[in-house]
Amino acid sequence: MENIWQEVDSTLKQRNIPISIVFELTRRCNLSCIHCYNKKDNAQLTLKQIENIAFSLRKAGCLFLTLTGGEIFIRDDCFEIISLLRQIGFDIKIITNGSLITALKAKRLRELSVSEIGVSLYGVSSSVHDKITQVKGSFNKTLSAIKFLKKEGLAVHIKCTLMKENFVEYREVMKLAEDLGVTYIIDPVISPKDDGSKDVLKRRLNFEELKSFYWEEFSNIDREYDSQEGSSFCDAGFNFGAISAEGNVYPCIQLPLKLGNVFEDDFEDIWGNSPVLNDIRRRIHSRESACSNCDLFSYCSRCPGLSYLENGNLFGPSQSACLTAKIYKEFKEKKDNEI
Amino acid sequence: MKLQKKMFVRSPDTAWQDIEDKTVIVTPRTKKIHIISGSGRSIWSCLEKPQKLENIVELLCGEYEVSVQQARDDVSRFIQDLVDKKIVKVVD
Repeated sequence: MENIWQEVDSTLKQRNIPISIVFELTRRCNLSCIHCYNKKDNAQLTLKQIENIAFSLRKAGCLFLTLTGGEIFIRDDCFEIISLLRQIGFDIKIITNGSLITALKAKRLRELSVSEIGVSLYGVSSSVHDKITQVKGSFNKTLSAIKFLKKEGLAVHIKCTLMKENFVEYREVMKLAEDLGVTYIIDPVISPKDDGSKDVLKRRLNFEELKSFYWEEFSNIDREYDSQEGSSFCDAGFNFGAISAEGNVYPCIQLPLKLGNVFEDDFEDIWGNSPVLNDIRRRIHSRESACSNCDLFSYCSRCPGLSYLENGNLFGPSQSACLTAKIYKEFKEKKDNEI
Repeated sequence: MKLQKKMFVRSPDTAWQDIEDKTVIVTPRTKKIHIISGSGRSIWSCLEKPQKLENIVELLCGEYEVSVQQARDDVSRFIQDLVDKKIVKVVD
């Protein structure tokens, strides 16, 4: 974001304005990814519900909406929704598996001035990608979608969740993204499912694979942590939130701690007065952390959502963050010894 | 560009939101952020529908203690700036 954002930043922080919301329009999906965190049900908001929620979000100060699922393009009324939200004045980003995006849909997305489309791509071959999505032919469709979107001049961002099944191809995914002229993120964090199941965590990279990945990452970026990194919180619950396909309000889509439901209470009321949320905010302001005495503290970049899903405590450690911090500490010490 | 004979309206490519006494405008394609305040917000508000320059001048003279000529000069400059930034478009 440009520095101009600083003009409103203090207002956003003082008033906890939910400027950015992830909006889960449906949990229906045409794929069945082996690592997916979502519950497998058909929860879906109606168009009218989405419209009412959108006006509540608007009143509360929201500007940026990220539409997600499931898979939003499975909905026949998907473009009606995007058009409505754009008319209200939201900046719209979309997260999608891409497999349902045709050239015509890409054109329509450009006409609606969608800000960014995040497309999940897990490899550079059908044998890898389709094995993860469990749908034959999905790789070719997703790759075509990326090209259609790029041709329309849209901002495309490849999202590659890294796991045992695609570790062999992640460098090729990076090269493919560069060749296509799109940005990308390779993310080795696999989250427990929202229903509490941790079976999916067996897909996570082992320590050596993770180390190999991160050392390459750290070598390519100039990354410095500040000493409070381990206790730092993101904007979840302050300027960032999420709404699920049943209307539950969360601090973040990664942190499914129910603050309220928009079909029971007004969103602005939930965001301002939820006892659960205000307790979290109070504890964050008092810098509460179970990690402050950890010797990896200053190397840690912890997601409270993962901590909550892994261990039930959003102020506590997260195994994935601990591992990453350990790897980063080793990397830093090696680099410092080389100097 | 001779503005007097044109009509102007918010570009449909923009996203925007009021935050206290400011209006934040985002142009998704360029990812630029613009912040307007004061009389600029009144102008932005009326540009929800196509407007001629003189309509906007009249609106400002009604809201602020300013001469018609001063308002016309200020509005012309402001509108031209918004058009250049592609936040506002000229309606045929």
